[in-house]
Amino acid sequence: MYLVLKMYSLPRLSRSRKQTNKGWSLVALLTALCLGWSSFVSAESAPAKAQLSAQDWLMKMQEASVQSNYKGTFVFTRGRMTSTVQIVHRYQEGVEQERLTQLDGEMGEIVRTGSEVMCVLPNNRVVKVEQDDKFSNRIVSAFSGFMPKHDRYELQVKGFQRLIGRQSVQVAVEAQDKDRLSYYLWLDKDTGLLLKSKVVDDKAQELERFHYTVLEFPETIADEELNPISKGAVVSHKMIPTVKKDRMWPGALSWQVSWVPDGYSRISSMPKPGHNVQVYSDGLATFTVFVEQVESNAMPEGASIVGATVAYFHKVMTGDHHYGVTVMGEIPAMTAMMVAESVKPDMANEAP
Amino acid sequence: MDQRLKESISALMDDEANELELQRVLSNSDEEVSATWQRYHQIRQVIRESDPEISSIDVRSAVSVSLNYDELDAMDDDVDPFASSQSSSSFDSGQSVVHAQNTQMPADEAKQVSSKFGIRSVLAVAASGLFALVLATQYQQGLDSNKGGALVADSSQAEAPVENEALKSQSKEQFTTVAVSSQPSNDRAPKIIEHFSEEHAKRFNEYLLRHAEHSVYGSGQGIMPLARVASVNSVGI
Repeated sequence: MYLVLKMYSLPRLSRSRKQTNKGWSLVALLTALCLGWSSFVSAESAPAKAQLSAQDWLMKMQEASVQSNYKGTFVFTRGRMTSTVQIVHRYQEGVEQERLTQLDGEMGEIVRTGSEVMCVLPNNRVVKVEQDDKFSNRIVSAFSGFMPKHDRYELQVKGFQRLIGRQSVQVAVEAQDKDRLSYYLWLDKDTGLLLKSKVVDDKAQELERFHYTVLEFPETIADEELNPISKGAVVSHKMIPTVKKDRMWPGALSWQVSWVPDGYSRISSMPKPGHNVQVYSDGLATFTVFVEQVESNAMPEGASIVGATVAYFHKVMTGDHHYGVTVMGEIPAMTAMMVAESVKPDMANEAP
Repeated sequence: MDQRLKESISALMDDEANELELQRVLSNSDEEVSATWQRYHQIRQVIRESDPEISSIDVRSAVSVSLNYDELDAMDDDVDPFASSQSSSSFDSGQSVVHAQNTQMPADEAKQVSSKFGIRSVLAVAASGLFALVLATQYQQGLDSNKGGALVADSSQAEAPVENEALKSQSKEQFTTVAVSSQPSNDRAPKIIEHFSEEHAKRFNEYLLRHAEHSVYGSGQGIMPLARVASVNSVGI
């Protein structure tokens, strides 16, 4: 009702502004706006809180996973592998920082600041993903408004359940075709944070299970908690390039992915000659296509699967040169295979 | 029968055959090849104690048909792949397979059959044959004998059309399922690598880390991409 009043009063006020005292009408306008807006917000949010849609919950989940402080321990099962990981996540002055520590077996850690990712491996070896700012930023901007596509996934709030002493809401994100996986999520009712998840394939076989066993939301997190635990000097430092820009490749070919399943679109920049990485997403599942010259330590041809993640390696012969195409993502092996086999050099687009 | 052919059969059984080897086995239609296939399979059964029945099914011709049809199928991908396989009855499908299994059909003859019964129904059944083959060759992947049994029944229905109404609808359902499982324009199953060497695992992790870096924002899944890296991290990069 207030919303209607607000809309109606706007043109009337602006018209009257010309005739009467300008300052007075401005105050009136602002008051009307504030009144209208605040009552609009309160009127809308009261019933909405009780009945958030699955989409609302997913948005809340993303917001919570980035813009809040939390720490805890989760168990992650992928296929036959289970591991326990400790997490500390901080959001402070617009910067996201987190540290993941492997608690089983040999110690390994991942430290992330913004989009910068660093792995600290046993024996103090450090592996870093080289930053390609343009590449990362483009992906970020393309995905500020993430949402699984309606016609590709069916979203549903399934109910409520108590988990690790908290109330959770169950959200099902079910794939509507064979080119993606289904997700079952348990979100914290208060904050929206993901407490537990299951990823299943089209035969309802569970591929991956994630769940917190301990979780808290501290007001503040000290810097020390985000530093890697490993003591002593770094033994070796290895950079893994995000994108290889190898112009030494024959003809500096640019590569074309000629088939992707419906609903997936490229979120990385236009493939340039010599660039070897392309990223695709359907709003939820992401896969990366790597093209490289075949190296001696290449993976065997076929699908290597760990939990929900598949890496499909396929060799391509162009002229006298062998290339290896690797498609990695949380997608079915069949889909990865078909994408990999569709990758071809774009002869028309050779660099001068 | 030459040694190369024997090796090809063996490779096919171990799911390690390449395109050439597959064609070699498929193009040899004599009894000796079937006998060798069955014998090799029985040897494997003794070793693996799996279901002995499946070795006696000869799916080669169906597989050849399905391979030939890949090309045809790829050409008309504007048609909904499920449309005709769902509307055609299992009886039709069964008949078309009787045709398909008689010989290795030349392409034009194959087209005739397909126009008569619908290319999808041929494909669906051919795919079910291929599926059985894949099952037979990938037995080590822990498929239980019940599942194998169901497929034996499935294939035998395909060979002889079944009159029974109840069985008809049952087999229709199976065909649909099989067709769905091998839907995308080619009917091959991806080769799954079961054992990771240390080098292989390292390589996998390198890709995983880069992939995570790309999808840590892209997927909106928060910590999941990095959690995936963390959980396999113990093997090192």
